[in-house]
Amino acid sequence: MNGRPTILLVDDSENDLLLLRTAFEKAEFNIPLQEVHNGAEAIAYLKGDDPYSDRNKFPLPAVMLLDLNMPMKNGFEVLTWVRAQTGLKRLSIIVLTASMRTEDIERAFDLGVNSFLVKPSSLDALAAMLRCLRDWIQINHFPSLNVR
Amino acid sequence: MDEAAQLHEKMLALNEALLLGSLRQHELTAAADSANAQLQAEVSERKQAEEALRRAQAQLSDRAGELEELVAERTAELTATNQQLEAFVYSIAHDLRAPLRAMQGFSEMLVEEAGATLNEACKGYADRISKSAQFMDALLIDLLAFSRISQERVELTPVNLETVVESVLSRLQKDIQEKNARVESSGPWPVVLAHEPTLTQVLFNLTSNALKFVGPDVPPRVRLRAEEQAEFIRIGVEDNGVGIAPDYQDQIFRLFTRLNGGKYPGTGIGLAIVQKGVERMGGRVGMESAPRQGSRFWIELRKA
Repeated sequence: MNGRPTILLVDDSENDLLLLRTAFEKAEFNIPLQEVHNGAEAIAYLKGDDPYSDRNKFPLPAVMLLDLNMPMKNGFEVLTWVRAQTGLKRLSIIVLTASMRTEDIERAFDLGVNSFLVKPSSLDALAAMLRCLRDWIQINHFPSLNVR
Repeated sequence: MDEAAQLHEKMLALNEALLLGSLRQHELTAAADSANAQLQAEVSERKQAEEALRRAQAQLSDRAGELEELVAERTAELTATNQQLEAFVYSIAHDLRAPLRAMQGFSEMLVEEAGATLNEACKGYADRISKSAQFMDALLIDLLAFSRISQERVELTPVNLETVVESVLSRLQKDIQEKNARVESSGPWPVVLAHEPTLTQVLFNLTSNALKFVGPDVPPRVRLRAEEQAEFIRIGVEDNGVGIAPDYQDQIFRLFTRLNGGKYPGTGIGLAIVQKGVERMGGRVGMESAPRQGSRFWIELRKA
């Protein structure tokens, strides 16, 4: 992937987004973040539909952090859609959710998720989790995605 | 004339014989008729019996059909209730924890960003918000674990106890170090018939309790061991803790029972999870304890 990898954050909760932003700062996460607020917006972003058609402004992400329980289209629907797109098969998807139900974990992996993280309730714990994610992104080699 | 007389006599005799024969024939006909009538009565009786049997069978099959319908109806009702319960648990996992995360996260942020300008009382308030949210989160997590252990499909397979004990102790490593505890886990560890995630949760709860309920400034000493019995393996977790008075020992496994509420943190769900988990694996659970003399909790599982 050219340049710095972008992270696409998909979460419907304004509270969680604010906490995540703060935790990203605390974790000194100097990787560009993009935010969308439900599954339908996530799909529009990845397809490059309006208002996300400018790839300079809205670059394809290397990693998508995906909440599960969302209005419009939920995380499972996004996962199913992404894995059915030839160009997006290589996108790294990490579920970041409140659920730790075995059924959700199994279903997400069955649908082709790369990792499953549960949102911790403390901000410090969330920052610690994001620090691990930052380190993983830095040592990881990302493939390019075959999308325009 | 003699000849005529003889003939006459002969005729008389023949006539008599004929009469007797005819009488006999009548008798025989009557007997045959009566036998016939009896046979017919029997046949009709049998027919009636067969008819009654057929009716009974038809009724029985109708009743069986009704019962089957009733069972199907009840099963559908139960399935619906189960699904509702499942949806309820799902909602706890997803929706109820989100506002808690916000309360905890934002109270932490408040102290971090405005801590210098807040007086001690206000910092204390923020701390109380954060601690209460943390406690409620712990409650929800334990309730989810309890509901999972009650509902999850439990398939029993041979489980190596040594692996389970190692995984439990490694998860408690930080706790063990911080409390300066000594944990002795003496093998040999046999193989038991269990559901590994459930058994791990059960032994985790028992060991973490053993590390928790000790007197102030007493380093915990915990001993885990397995004992082979006729059909069962008894796994014991012994501690040098505060112990439990006999009066309270029968309520200790109940949901939300906390005997040392103020002194030790906890949700009162841990031992209910232990009991439910062991029950689901077809085993038994029990304890021996005396105040200030430590406790010994045990579970029994079938040999593999």
